Amino acid sequence: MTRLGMLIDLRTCIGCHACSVSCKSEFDVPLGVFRDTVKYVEEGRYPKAKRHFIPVLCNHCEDAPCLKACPTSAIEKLEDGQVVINKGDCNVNRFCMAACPYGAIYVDPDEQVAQKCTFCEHRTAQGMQPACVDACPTKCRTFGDLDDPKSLIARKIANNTTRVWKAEAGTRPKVFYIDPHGALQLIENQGVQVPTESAYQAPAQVDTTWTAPTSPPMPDPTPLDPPAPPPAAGAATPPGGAAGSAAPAAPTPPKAAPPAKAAAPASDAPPPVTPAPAAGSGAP
Amino acid sequence: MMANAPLAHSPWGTPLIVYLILIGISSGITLQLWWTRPRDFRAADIFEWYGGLIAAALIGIASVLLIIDLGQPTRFFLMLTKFDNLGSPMAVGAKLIALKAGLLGLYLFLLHKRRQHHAIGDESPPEGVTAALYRTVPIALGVTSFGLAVYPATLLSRTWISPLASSPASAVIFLVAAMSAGAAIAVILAHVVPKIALDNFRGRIVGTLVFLVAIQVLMFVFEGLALHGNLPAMSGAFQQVIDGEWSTTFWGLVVGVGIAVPLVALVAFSKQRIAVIIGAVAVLIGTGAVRYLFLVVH
Repeated sequence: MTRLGMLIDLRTCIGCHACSVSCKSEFDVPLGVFRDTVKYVEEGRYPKAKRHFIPVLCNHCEDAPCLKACPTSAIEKLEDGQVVINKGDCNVNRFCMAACPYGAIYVDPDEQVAQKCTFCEHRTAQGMQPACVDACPTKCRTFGDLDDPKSLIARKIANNTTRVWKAEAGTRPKVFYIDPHGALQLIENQGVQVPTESAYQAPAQVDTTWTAPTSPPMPDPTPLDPPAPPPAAGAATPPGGAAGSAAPAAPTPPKAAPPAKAAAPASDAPPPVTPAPAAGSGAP
Repeated sequence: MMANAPLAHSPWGTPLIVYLILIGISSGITLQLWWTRPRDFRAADIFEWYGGLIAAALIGIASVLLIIDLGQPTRFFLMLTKFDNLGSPMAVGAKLIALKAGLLGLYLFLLHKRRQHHAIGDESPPEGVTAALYRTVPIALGVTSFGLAVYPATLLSRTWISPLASSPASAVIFLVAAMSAGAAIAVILAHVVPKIALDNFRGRIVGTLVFLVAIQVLMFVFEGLALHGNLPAMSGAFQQVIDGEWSTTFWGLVVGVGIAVPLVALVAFSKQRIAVIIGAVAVLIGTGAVRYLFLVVH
């Protein structure tokens, strides 16, 4: 019998979130809730600090506590092991959310039913891979039949040391991790859902009216001294044209500015460009 | 602070906390109606009538709260009509509540008929089906009430929300708290409704309440012994209650208001009606705080 599962190689996950974005796109998952996401976890201190990227999703557990908890039998396990929620039977009592140790289940604010990762049951039924597996640029996710010894996932699990997330919960997850650095234990007290209240406001809550800023008005700019009049006809003009008489006087510094700063604009300010008189002309 | 909280907030909020408290009080009243009762049959009729009405009202309010709390209230009936998953405590609890509501309705109807007969001086015992109903309905009510008194502990033990409910003493605490709340209601009735206060019923019901409050103390001690040194989530929750974030609620409401005040009022001032009523109300507050702590300490 087919027993679908997933293997995630944390050695090659680069935390790009292509998987979580593809999942959001595939199921039109509303903002603020997640079927699949990537945990960024930092460990250690400089100069030995590390950052781990850990993709997390529903583990489609063999002993799924959500399935056992649901009082309306809305959660079922399909023949190939995928644990799915039947929307029509869900009355959102949220016992599944309270029972799941992984925080994999959320209430869809649009449809008002409980939802979670389905291992892309609609894709796998047609022989395709889940969206997150297809999207991964480093191919760190492997999906397939755990009970088929010839499948890639079975061979990888056989050839590598693997762990599961929150093994002590006793749920027998079907998402395995190649985790040589022991990063999974750093997220023992976390779940799939990411608190986003502080970082995001739902569109309905965003104030779309614009009001003028209330900061104090900027002081009026100090007017520049008017440029010196052009030299009279016949008067010699020093080379460089504008360096001498045509050069404007240094602007009067604002009253609040310290004297040291007042000098800087004068030295930094480029001289204005004035057309140089024709050489030796002196005459209009 | 949540020790192992995969979600930022508990999926269950205030409506469910109130629901579990009301279910407990309703169960306690129903159990109390047959434990310590007036010996005079007329007083017993009045006591059962008022007690039954209060239990029915509380279970009605609790049911409405449960339905309103659902994200899809129109599908609440699925919890009653689906029998595929009797391994779910919520499925069993919902069916027990519906069963108890029906039994309470039948019981109050039978009681009403009996009071009508007694009012006209007819004290002949019922016969046939009526007699069978008078015997079996109270037993069925007692069994369902017992189940509803402990079912919240079972429900919470299956979640990450309540490490306190994972200890073996939790079910007994829920039962004793429910019965204490029921006895407190009975004490108030005995001191407010004069026709019930015959044959030293007041003294006996106050004695029952004092006994139950003392039992609570013992159960808290055993709950603490069960949690202390246990798995990190459970011992962490125990520490939060004893000297952490929830210590004020525990020592203030559960121990101070729920145990110390009633023991003083019911023992030292048992002859003073106001003091006894205050003691009974304090028990209601304390038992409500116990159930509240089970739901909020993670």
